Amino acid sequence: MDGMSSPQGAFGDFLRTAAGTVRSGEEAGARRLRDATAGLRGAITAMFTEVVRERDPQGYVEAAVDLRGRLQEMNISAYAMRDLDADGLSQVCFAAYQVAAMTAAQTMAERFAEMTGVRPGDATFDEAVPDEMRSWAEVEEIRKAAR
Amino acid sequence: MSLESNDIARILQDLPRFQEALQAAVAGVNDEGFTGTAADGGVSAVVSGLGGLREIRIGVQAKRTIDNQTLGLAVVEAVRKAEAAAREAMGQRFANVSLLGVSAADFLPPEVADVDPDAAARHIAAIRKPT
Repeated sequence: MDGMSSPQGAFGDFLRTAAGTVRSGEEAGARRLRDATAGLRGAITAMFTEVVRERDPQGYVEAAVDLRGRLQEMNISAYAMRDLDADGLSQVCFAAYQVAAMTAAQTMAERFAEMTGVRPGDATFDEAVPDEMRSWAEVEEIRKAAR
Repeated sequence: MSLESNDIARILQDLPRFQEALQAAVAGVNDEGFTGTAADGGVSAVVSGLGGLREIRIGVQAKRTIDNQTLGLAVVEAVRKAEAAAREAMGQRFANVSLLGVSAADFLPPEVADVDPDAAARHIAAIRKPT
């Protein structure tokens, strides 16, 4: 594991708590594991409910999109109503959505990285498994080799 | 109810048919388009089978007669309706794909298909052996 990053954030907390629970076998460990599971679930829920806002390149319309890419709001300015015809307005609405959806996808990747400590192109999940989880990773390696 | 060896044999026997049916249900799902409208049809939106927004269309009359804030709300409403149509279609695609009497539609996430969110848990509980 030298030189390899360990999972961070809620996901890292969860893995370390799970490993500690398995090691200790103590009763209180089960409660800690439950709490860690709730923490992880909360972090994932927060990630999916976060909303980003972006404007079309001309700045006429603002779209709010959640991190799953679903449109939540479309705020059309008075300038857009004055300057654009119906087709133009349709186009800037869609453009604002596209910009917001792209930002949402980038934000989702950032939140995932914050939660796990793993970014695209970084160490793989297997490499990032903490030392205390090593035996689990070894079991997975054996399982893969057996396929 | 518990899983018996006969059930497992049936699952293994049905698996190829289940996989084929599942692939057929999924094929081309993202190529389809579903439309939703708002403001008496003056605003429309089209989403893909997976719910991705493809088009927003504001009609001349709607743009002329509706104020900017209400128009923004109408765009969101049209998108919501298009997404709902896509979810319903997704549920129908998977409704007839089943394994051991369990519909694949019950295992789709609610944001992808209009399904009972507790159905999957009930099926799992029903086939799990009592401890």
